[in-house]
Amino acid sequence: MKVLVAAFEDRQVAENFSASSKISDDLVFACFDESVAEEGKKFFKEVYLIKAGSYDPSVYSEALKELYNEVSAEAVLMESSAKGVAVASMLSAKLGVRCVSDVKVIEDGYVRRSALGAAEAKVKVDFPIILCVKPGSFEKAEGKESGEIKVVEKSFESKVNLVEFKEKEKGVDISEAEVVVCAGRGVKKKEDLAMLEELAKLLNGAVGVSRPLSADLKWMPNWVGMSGIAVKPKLYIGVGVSGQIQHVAGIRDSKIIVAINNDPKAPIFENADYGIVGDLYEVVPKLIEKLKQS
Amino acid sequence: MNIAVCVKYAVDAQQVKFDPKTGEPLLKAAPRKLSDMDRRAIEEALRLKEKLGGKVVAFSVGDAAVKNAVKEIYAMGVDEVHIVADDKLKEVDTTTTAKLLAELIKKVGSFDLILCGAASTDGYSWLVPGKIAAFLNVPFVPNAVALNVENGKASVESDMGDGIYKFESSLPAVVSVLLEINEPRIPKLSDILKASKKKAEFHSLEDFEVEFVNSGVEEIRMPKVERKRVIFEVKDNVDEVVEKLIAELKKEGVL
Repeated sequence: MKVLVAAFEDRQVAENFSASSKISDDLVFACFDESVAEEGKKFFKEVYLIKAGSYDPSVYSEALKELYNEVSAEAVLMESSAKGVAVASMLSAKLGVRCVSDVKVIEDGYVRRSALGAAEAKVKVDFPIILCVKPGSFEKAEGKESGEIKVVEKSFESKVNLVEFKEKEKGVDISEAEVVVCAGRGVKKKEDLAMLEELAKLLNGAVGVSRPLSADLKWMPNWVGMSGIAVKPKLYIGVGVSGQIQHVAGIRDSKIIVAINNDPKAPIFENADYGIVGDLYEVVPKLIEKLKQS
Repeated sequence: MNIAVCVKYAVDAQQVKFDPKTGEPLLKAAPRKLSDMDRRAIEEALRLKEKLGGKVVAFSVGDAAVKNAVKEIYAMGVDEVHIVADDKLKEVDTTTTAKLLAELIKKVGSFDLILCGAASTDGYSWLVPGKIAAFLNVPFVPNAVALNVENGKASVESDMGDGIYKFESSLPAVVSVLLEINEPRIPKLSDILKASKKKAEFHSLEDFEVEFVNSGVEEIRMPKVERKRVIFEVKDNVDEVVEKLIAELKKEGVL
């Protein structure tokens, strides 16, 4: 069975390759960027570099639809990122092929995705199907192929123009960090993150923040949670984090969870191995002091 | 400027309880609410209407309980509400939902802009807005954090993960919105009272030729992760508490 694998970012190619290898060995790769195609060559024999202009879900889904039919694929796999799902959704409607997004596990006949925030759904797979896999959920395989890039020019009428692109400030990669110190609403000012940075540095870890601090207050891009970055460190320390269900789901794979919060009723304590009920402005400096001594 | 807004009467995922033994969600007892991003879509539509005139029409499809969302939608200030509420829609795939919404929108009128929340608070598939756009055969601009309509064009700032993309789209178009786009208004008591007198227009599922695609969801479970829940309380003894924590973490081998 032929699977059409697409990717929108270089760093996602290895994971999309491992995920699609769970379904079939007969893989064809497609992308829209030269750098992604170069990465794709390391994993796939057949690489299609589609030149169809700047990102537009209507145009990209149309191009993938044509390729899907041309190569007689029976499944499509791409990343469940903002760019991926927007294209996959339109492709799904155009092909009349069911799409499952946010896939974390691929099993025989089933996939698993998140449901109701922190829970997991087991979803039946019937081919043809489109699967969008959650970044960070599959092994980053090593590329052993030396494939060939075929450039395909596709031109469709585009009604959406990209007029400007502002790259986001890139945070440290916390998805692979062994220790994550995460700030929540209890942290009062952005400047106070310095204290958490110091703690993280002592532990060779990285700092993240909960959704409101990232999305609303824009303190940092490193948003920990189900719809942000899912982390799986040995040690997670939530500082002033209340523990909304989405956040808890994003830290579930941590080995040890520590919570520091002045509200004994904060839901994070239900989901923690160790907790300190107390003022973070008293506890964190003390923790830093004692760790320096030991 | 006529704006269609698609909203979901979602399960409030924050409030769902799970059976402690089986991990199954207790959905019958779970409270429902207008999905968070959809409220932002309504708010954005109302702001555009205040600037440009026209009307805001809300659409919702789902199980029989969807009728309970009508009052809240009207209270925010929406002009018309159109509903398909049928228990046959309980376990359908996003394709059926999107197709039905697209058909319903077409039946009711012509719109310059179709706004949706980018994802629902219970399903989080992120798939419905793009599918509506595909079925209506109009452009799709996802994940808006800012939106402007000028000279018959939508100017949209979209958060696509790696950065903010500024798109310009011809109209009509489907634009999906993120939580960050605005802070939705809280209806005043007088608005709520007025809203309770307004009726939604109910459409029968049988009026539409829509194929039922099953979502394929076989089970939902809360994965069980047992945590130790050892909690220390600070009472003038912060030194002692922090030392205890460090000792425990050393025992765990994570320090």
